Amino acid sequence: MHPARSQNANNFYKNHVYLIFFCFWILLLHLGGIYLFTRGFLLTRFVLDNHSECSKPPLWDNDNNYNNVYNIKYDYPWQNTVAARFKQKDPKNQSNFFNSDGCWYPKIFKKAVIIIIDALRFDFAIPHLNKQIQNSESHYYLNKLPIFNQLLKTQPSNSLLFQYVADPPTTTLQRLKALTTGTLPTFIDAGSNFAGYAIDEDNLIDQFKNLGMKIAFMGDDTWVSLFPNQFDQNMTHPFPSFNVWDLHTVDNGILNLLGPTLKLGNDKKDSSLTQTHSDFSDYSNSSQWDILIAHFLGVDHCGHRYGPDHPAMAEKLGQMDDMIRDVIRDIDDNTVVFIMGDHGMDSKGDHGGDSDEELESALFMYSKKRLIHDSTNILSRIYQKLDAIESHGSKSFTKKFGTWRSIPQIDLVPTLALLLGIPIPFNNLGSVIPEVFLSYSEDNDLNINKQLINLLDVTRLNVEQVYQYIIEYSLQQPSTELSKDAIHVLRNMFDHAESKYNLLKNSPDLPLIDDLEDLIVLYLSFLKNTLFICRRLWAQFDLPLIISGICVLISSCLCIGLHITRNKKNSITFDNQITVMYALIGGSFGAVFSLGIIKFIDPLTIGFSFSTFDFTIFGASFGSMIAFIIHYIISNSFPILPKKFPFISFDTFMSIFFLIIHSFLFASNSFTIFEDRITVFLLQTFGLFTFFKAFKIKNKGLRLKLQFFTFMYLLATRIAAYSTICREEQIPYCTSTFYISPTSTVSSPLTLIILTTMTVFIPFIICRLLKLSESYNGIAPLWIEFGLRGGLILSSAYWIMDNLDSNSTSSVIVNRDETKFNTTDLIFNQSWKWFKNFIVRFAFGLSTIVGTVAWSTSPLCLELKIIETDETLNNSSSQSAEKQTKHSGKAIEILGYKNAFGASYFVFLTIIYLLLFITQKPMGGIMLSIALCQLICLLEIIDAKRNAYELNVVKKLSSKDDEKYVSNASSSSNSYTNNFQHKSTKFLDVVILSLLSSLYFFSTGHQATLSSIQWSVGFIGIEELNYFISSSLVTLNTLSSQILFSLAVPLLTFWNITPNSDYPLFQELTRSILMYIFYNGIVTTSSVFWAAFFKRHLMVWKVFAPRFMLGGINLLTMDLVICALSIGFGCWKIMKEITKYFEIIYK
Amino acid sequence: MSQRDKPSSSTSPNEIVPPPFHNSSTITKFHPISHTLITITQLILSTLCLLYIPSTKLLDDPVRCLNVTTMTLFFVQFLIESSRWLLYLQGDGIETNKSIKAMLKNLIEHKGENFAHALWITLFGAFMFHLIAIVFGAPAIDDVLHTMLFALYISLLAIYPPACAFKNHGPIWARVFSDGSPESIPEKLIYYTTVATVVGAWLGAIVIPLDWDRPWQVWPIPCVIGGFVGHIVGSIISLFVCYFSGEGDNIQKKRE
Repeated sequence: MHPARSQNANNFYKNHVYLIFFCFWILLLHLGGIYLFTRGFLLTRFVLDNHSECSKPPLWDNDNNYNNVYNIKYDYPWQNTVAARFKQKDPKNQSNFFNSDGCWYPKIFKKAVIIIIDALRFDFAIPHLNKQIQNSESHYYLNKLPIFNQLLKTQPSNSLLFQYVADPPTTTLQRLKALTTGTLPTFIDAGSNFAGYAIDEDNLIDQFKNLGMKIAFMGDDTWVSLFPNQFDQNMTHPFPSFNVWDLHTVDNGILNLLGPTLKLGNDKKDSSLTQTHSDFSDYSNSSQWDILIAHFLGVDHCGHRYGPDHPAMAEKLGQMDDMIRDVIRDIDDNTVVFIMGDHGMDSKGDHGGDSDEELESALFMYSKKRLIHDSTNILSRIYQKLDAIESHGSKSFTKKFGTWRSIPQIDLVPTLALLLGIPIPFNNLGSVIPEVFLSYSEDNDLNINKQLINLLDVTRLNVEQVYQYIIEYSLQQPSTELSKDAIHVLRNMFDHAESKYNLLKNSPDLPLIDDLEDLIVLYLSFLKNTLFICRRLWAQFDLPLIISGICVLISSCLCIGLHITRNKKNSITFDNQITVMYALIGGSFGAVFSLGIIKFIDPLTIGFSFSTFDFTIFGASFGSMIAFIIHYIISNSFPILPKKFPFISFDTFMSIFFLIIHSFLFASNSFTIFEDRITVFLLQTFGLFTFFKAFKIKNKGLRLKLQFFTFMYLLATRIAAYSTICREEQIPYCTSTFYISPTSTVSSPLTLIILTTMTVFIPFIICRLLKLSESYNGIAPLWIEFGLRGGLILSSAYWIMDNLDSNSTSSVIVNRDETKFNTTDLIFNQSWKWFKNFIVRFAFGLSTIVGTVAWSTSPLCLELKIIETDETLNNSSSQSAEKQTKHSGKAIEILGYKNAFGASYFVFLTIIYLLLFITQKPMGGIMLSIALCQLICLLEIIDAKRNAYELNVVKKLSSKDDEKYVSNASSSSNSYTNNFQHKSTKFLDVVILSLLSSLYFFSTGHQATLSSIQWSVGFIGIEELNYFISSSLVTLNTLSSQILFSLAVPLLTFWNITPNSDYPLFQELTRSILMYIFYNGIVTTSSVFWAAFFKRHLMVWKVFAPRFMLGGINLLTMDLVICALSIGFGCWKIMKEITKYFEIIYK
Repeated sequence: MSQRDKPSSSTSPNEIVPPPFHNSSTITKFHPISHTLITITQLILSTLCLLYIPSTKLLDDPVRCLNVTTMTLFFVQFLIESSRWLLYLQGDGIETNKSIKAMLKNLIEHKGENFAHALWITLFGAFMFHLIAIVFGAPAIDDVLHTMLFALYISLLAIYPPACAFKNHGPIWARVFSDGSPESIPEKLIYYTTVATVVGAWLGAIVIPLDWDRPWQVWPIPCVIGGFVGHIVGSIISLFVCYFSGEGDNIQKKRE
């Protein structure tokens, strides 16, 4: 027996290593396919390096060539125009030219104060007069900024309030980019929020700096990473932005600095009033600022931490209100104030996505000088005309909460630039805000005609800048779709407007108001259209890359499918080794081949945008897959068509049916939105079907066992379906139950109580489960009783403390007794925080270090018991002692022999479970515990079904003891040991496991949207943002269900399997794992395919693209977990140890 | 005890031998015309019950509509099942005297108890369907009446006929529905109808998540309609199955 076993062991090592290689190959294929697809699907915008220059306004003549403004003889009937002004200037003396009047347009204001209140949602800023709104539940954030309304009422000509619509993604970094460059940062940039990088595009801050204006900055340090050198060194006060749970540090820091800085600016200005006009550069040594930027984060952090509807929000907004009052009081006449939100927040207080609540923030403009001179409602007439010809795009007015003007966020860029007399940044797509430019008039002559001419000039300047950008972009990137549109649509519009302009210009009379209005409308509509086209086309899909990515994914699924069928057929010999070799050779050959192609036949790639790297990946993937298929054909005499249609059992039918449903889910946006419900539906179908099928089992004990576990399974699924975070599209049919209320991110006390009971319940359940198969030995009691229980208790203690912490904060706010409370609260908080973090770090250590080390030193749950041999005991060896070896009157009973693999692997699973549990919020922790319970139920269901089948077969054999059966099987037990077919994992089991992983993804408070990522878990156990720790915490939190369930795949094979050398354990393991990858591969491929199919669909960025991203990340995580953790570590360890263990025993 | 009620395999000691569900063993023939007539009558009547009799339409107020529907459907089902069993019992040839009075007497004698039991079995079935609906994701607390009436409706269509036939004999239920092996003509007629009704209700749920914003997408209307359509399809399928395949092989073998 010994040599055979060592031979076995040798084989096992070889096979195992090659299985890991095989899975790694699949991982690479998936990675390659997803990479290629992503390259084509989520393209980045090209950044043009052009910069606008002060001396070169972008004025175009009719031939669409660049014009030097100074060479053109403008023959205007009116004298107040920009070009006319330029004509008078001496182009050589630039600084002088700038200082007095501004670059492209005479400056209206000398200084600007830009206050950004992060996540200032539109409804925070506007007055709510309706009593109903005030009495409703959401009163903590309404009417908390009364200053806006007061100013609008008392000084209507000096203040303006807009609804301010951002573009997705609504993350601060992207918004800041948009706010300074006037561009549309693309979707893929969203990931770089954690590490801001310097902007190299033309932007406002650069323009300010180039013209010698001094910028004071305070607040969010993202700005400093975006503009490392632009701010004035002495007046830059960045504060760390990523400590989301800290509401006050940033704001208090700014508030301390803001008042003095404002006053400083005024004093200097008053004393050197005469100098201001003569020479700007004289200020280089003083601490005078021209631009003051303050970025408050408190509101945003409050939203992240508590949600908008929380007393802390009321306090925060009150503080902002006071701050705005102070600022407005302190500024001088030459200063314009912009108060804005960079984005809104959703009902939970988070942002990042593209729901209306996240996109809509507010912009408030104020100056002590008169801002608007619209006495005759010219503008509303213009907007009416504009809305009348708009076929698409947004209306000028929003009816939400009354009638307000709605403007895109990037409109700030040209407006601010022209108000302060600097060039509009080259890449800007925004349009000027007409309200403020109607006023400008040199000699305070409020002639409507002149006002309109002025506005027309400003708009035309803006249009020409945008048109210049569009033309330049299409020149630099000729292969993009934008060029086609630019040429066909925009050029026509532009030419039409320009010809009308020239007509008007050349007419000898003073133009009619109506004509001027029409022309302005034309220009504004050009700007709107450009923005619309750019928004729609910005993600430039690259079809060849998309198709090649999909091809790689589909053929990888095909390869896995072929490998599974092969393993089923050749039950004894299956060669991962040769497969891997073939794949390797094919892959390298393909890579070299494609490299050769790209080297020598370079023109081939001109039509495509394949880079060398892309092409190599594509070649390698296909090379390896072709090699695989060649190998398959050689070894299997491919193609083998089944002689007759194979009989499909109902279970197989159901699994394939589920696979089809799950894949075609993504063909419809509604089904994709309600994927969580559909997952529940499918899972329950399986559960109920099993439940009712159980009635036919004749053995009462087995029937009851199966029905009990199925019942628990049904219950667990229903409970898991209860916990959810609604995505925006689900809203009328869904209420979020993950937190205490849909508008909060605080967990309810009941959740915490249940979480605490879970710390008792889970170890108990695991203990009972392992005792079922007598495998509560070895490492198990030690880990479950102390390690796991301790870890769970520590983690729930952390959450309880965290909740108390947030409650205490709210009580402080309710008391409003700041002086008394703040100090004690601060001390209390600090020690609390330290203790809290210590606890949770300890729990992390328990799971990652103690658990792993303990388990890897002795993973087995086996125990030897030496008993005296009795005849009676030998007879009753049914349950506990499967293996008995006679040893001179003594027998060795191996406890836990029945489930030697499963129990040990399950203990390993609980270690990872603990790690994932810690990263979950309270409700998520509960759900993860239920997931573990449901996993147990599923394992027992599968086991009971196998037993039932076994019983049936045995009975059939014994009952129909005919001649033909006798010849086949001498005794029923013998045939049963030889036939392991029923023990092998069915596709249905794997499908259910995958569906469970999908279900618990939703139950742990996630959705297939970017906004559902629980960023705040990045601060568990740490006080400051740590790039590595925070991002891995968030990753673990988001993907915990996928990790847990892909780790559980080997259990399908291992559960209740005795270490029998005849049993093809390894082959079965390969099959389960490959089937799991196969199922998820197909589902992900389908989501990828449908995302590409619907790439022009209205919902693509809301529904299909996020689902594709989730699918891709899922698949890669799954591959990686299976490769590295599951077969690379867990299975390897167990199989090695068990082989060793039994070798020792048999010696 | 009749032969047919023994399961195909030999029984294990702990297994309860199922009692016969009706006394006859001679139902061999399928009467295409009379069965088709009964089925068509039932389909027409049940259509009337759901769509035409209630004064409030299903789309306007499912609760009030289903109130009336379930009430009337109960009588329809009672009538149809009675006539079916009259047909079976007559076919059994137990009573050669064909006077209506004698037939009714025969029915009450043999199946009276079954019909009485069928009442609470149907109610129990409704309770189970209610639970199942909740398990599948129907709101647990809100819309209780909607779910309850849906469950009652499906139960009347799917559970009442087998309840009349099998009473509360667990093993027969298990054999017909859990094992999926109906053998005699009544069993087959019942089996396909019931399964199709449940599957229809299951399939009906598909349209609920779609974003078409139609009034008929509101729970439980699609599932009620699904169950109704499934019932029609199942009834027709069961007729065809009985017409073409007749009794199961097991029964015929045993009879020989």
